[in-house]
Amino acid sequence: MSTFIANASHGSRGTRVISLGGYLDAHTASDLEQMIERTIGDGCVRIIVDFSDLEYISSAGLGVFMVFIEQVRSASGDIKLAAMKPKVFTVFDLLGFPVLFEIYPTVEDAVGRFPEPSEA
Amino acid sequence: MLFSILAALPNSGIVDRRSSEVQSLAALNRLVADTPDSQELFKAVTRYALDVCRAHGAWAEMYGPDSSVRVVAAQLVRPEYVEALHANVGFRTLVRQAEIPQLLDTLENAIGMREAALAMRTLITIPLLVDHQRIGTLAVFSTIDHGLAEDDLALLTAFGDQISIGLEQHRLLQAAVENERLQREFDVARRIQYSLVPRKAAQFDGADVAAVMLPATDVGGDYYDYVTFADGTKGALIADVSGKGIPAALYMATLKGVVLAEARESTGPGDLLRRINITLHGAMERATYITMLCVAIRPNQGKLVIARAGHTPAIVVHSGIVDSLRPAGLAIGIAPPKVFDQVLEEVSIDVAPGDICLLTTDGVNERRNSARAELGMEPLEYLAAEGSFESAAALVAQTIALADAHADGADQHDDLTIVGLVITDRQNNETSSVRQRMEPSYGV
Repeated sequence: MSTFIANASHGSRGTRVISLGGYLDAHTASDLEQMIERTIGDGCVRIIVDFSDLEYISSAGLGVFMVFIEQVRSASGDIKLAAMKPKVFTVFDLLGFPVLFEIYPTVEDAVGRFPEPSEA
Repeated sequence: MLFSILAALPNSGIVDRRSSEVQSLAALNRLVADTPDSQELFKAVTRYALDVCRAHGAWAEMYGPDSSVRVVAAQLVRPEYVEALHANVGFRTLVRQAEIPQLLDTLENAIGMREAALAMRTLITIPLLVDHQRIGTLAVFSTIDHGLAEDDLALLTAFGDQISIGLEQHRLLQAAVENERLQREFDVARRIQYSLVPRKAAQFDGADVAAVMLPATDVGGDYYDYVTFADGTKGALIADVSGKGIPAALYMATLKGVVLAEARESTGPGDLLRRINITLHGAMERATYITMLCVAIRPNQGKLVIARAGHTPAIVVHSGIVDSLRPAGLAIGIAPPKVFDQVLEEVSIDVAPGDICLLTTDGVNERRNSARAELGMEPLEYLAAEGSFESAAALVAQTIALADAHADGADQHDDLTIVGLVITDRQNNETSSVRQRMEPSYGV
């Protein structure tokens, strides 16, 4: 049975980092969907997805990111993707996702692309 | 002596009771077997428990994942009353934490509750388990001291086992029903899929074409088709709808309709993909997209024209040189027409008779063996370059054989689709020369 892990933690600049591990497929995509939904429900629209430990992503897994991107961007936030293994990046790349999503080599790079939160 | 023998003989009251116990257990057995609804089961069980113990009340309570308590059946006691009793820590602990059946003679002492608030004096609790998980408790009480005895405890313990077996059976039954439902859904999805793709190999002017689709246990959303463009030239396309099951199969049916409608208006592969995205972007669920690759055969020019929408690259072999063709293009449905059209590329390559073109879905290169190792693209490229194929059907068959050899019997989790083209000599020059004059300019 494939395993999938998703954990959310607070990053700097008011970001929420969702760390993925294992296999993200049709069976586990809803777990991630719920986690992103909760994050947005908490009022956080600065989302970084850390792919460091993700071994595999299927078409259904990729679809999850499309569900929320418009909503997050219209609230002046973003979903930035980071630290993909080459094989996982290839899947995103073939679909043309780099045109639509910002993808960074590390989580730190992705955090740095969010502006400092203003207090105003 | 006589007295002691007489004393050891059961009196008629006990005999009655024993036979009623046996009947109850037998009745319970039948009930468990015949009741598909666990609510009914609890109702009946609490009623039996009440009768055979001549108790003053009985209930069954279940525990939720958030440690909530729900009284699912109650006899001679109000469910709200029992649920309210759980507010008392002593009571809650006594009922929920006990891992074995217990008889409590002096309930009010055990839980430190004033008797005025508590009608129960004697209580028996039986833990209920399903699949080794504690899911609830069967409880029977008497309003008088020592109103229940050890043999009541023994009988109810047997009851508890029966209920656990019954609940386990319900669980398995429900799983079987769900499996049955999924199997039917799978069959429908598979029939839809099969009904939408061409079954036979085709002879196009300038190419021999064959294809195969092997649906997975999980039914994916693969699709392939042969199309005729506005200028009458032929093409082949391969596609993969994201996700699985009925939704993917329905999107595939939608896609087929759009392909049929748009192909005859399209100037070529790029134009077709562009038109499909215009129609489907915004018309699908947000998480759904389609990858597609389309090839047009242009025998007049000795060219293949290829456009790709996020799909696995096409493998082309020209004069023995293998090439993985990956023109830029976003998957259909992920971007509005403006962005999609801007990114989309259409490439045109020279081909000669004997050259081949192999289109696959990711089910092929991601085909896993039992060690979860994927086939990858390289063996496919190697096969295309090194093999000799007298027909498109042979190219397809050898590609399947390669994937099968790699998988070595491991389960196939994704659809596997292969479209093979082998470039041939022109079939009918006269017809083609007419077409040539009608040919509009190409390009996206």
